[in-house]
Amino acid sequence: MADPVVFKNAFTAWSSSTGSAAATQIPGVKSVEMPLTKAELANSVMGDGAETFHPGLIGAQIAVMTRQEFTTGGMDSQAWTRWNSETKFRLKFRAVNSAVSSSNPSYIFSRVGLFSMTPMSGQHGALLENSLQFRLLSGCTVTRSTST
Amino acid sequence: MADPCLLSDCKIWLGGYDLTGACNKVQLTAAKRDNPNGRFGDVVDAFHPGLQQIDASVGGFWSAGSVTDPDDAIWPRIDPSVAVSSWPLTFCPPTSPSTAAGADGNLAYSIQSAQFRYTLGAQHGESLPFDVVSRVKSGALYRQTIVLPKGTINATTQGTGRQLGTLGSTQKLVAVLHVFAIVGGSWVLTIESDDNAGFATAVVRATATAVTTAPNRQVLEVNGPVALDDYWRAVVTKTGGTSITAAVTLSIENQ
Repeated sequence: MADPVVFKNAFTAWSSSTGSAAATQIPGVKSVEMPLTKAELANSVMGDGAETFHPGLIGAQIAVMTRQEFTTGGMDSQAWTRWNSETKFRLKFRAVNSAVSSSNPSYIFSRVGLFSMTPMSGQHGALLENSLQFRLLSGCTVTRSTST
Repeated sequence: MADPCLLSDCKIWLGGYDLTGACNKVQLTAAKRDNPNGRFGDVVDAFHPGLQQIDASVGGFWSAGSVTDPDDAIWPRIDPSVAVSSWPLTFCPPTSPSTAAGADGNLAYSIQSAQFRYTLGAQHGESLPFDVVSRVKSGALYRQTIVLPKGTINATTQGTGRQLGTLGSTQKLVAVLHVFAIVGGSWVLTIESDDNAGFATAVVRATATAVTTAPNRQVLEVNGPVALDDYWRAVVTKTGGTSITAAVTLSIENQ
C-alpha cells in the first residue's frame, strides 16, 4: 500500500485561453477542492429493493483559495481579467508539483470559466484571501492524463 | 510570489460618508450567475456566465450623531420615507500597490449601490456592532484607480495623471466622486485625457455638476471611443469658498 501524498506542493495551473496548452501556476494557492461528481438520476423500477441511480452528467464545482494581493499582474489582476472578461481557459491539477506520471496524474478541464472571486473579504487584521469558483463550460472535457 | 495583503486598513466610502473609522470587517464577492448551458454532446454539466452578482457588506461598531458616525450615513439609505437613490460605495484595500489604503494610484473597487439590510443588536455587555448589506443598483462592479486620494484641498487642483489606456468604442470611462466636506464655494470635477504624461494638450472628457454642499457624490460615465489619449487625470476647480474634502476614482470599463 503506497504512502499518502502530503498535499504541500500541488500543481494548480490555468491557461490564458482554451487554445493554449501552456499552463501557468495560479499564484499563492492555499487550498484546492475538486469534487468530481456525476448526476444521480433516479432509476428505480419495479423489482428493485433499493433506491437505485444511474450516473448522469459530470459535475465539477472547482474551488481554489489563494492569497489575495494587488501587485501589478498579480493574483487580483489575473483573476479580475478572467472574471470580468469571461475568458475561457483550461485548468490543470496535479497532486505534486513535479513531472506528470502514473503516480502523479494530471486532471485537465479543457474549457472553464471563473464564475466567482472575493477581492476583499475579512476582518481587521486578517490576511486577505481570494476564493475562486470555477464552472465547466459547454464543450468542456474532463481528462485524467499520465503523460500531459 | 508577492506577500499576501494584511487587512490592517481598508477605506470604505459610501456616498459622501467615510465609514472607515467605524468598520472592522468587509466582504466583497464578485460572482456571475450560473446559467445552465449543457448541449447534446456535452459530457459535463455545463454553464455559461450570466449577469454579475455582487455581494458587498461591511460591519463595525455602531455610533450616531455626526457625519463620521455610521448610523447617520446608513439609516437614510434604509428609511422607507426617503426616496431610493444610487450612492457609490468604494472599497480601497492596502498594499495595492502602495502600503497605505486609499493612496494615490492605488486600487479601489466601486459599485453604484443601494443598501438592503442594516442589522443592529448584541448581547448585554457587548460593544454594539452594525452590519450593512449593499447591492448594485445600477451599472456593474468597477475595478478602479484612485486618481485623487481623499484629502482637503484649498485651490484648483490637478490630480496625478495615470496611464489607464485608450477608450475603445465599446468601452466607457467611469469616474466616482465622493465629497466628504465643503467649506463654502462651488467646486467642479472634470476628467481630462491626453496622449502624454505632461498633459500638454489636455482635453476635458467629462464634467460633473458643481458641488456646493456635503456630504455629496456623483458618478460620471463617458462612452468611448477616445483613440489616442491614454493618460487620464481628475481636476477639481474652485470658485470661491475655502476648501473641499473629496476623493476621485477612475476606470475604463465595458459598456
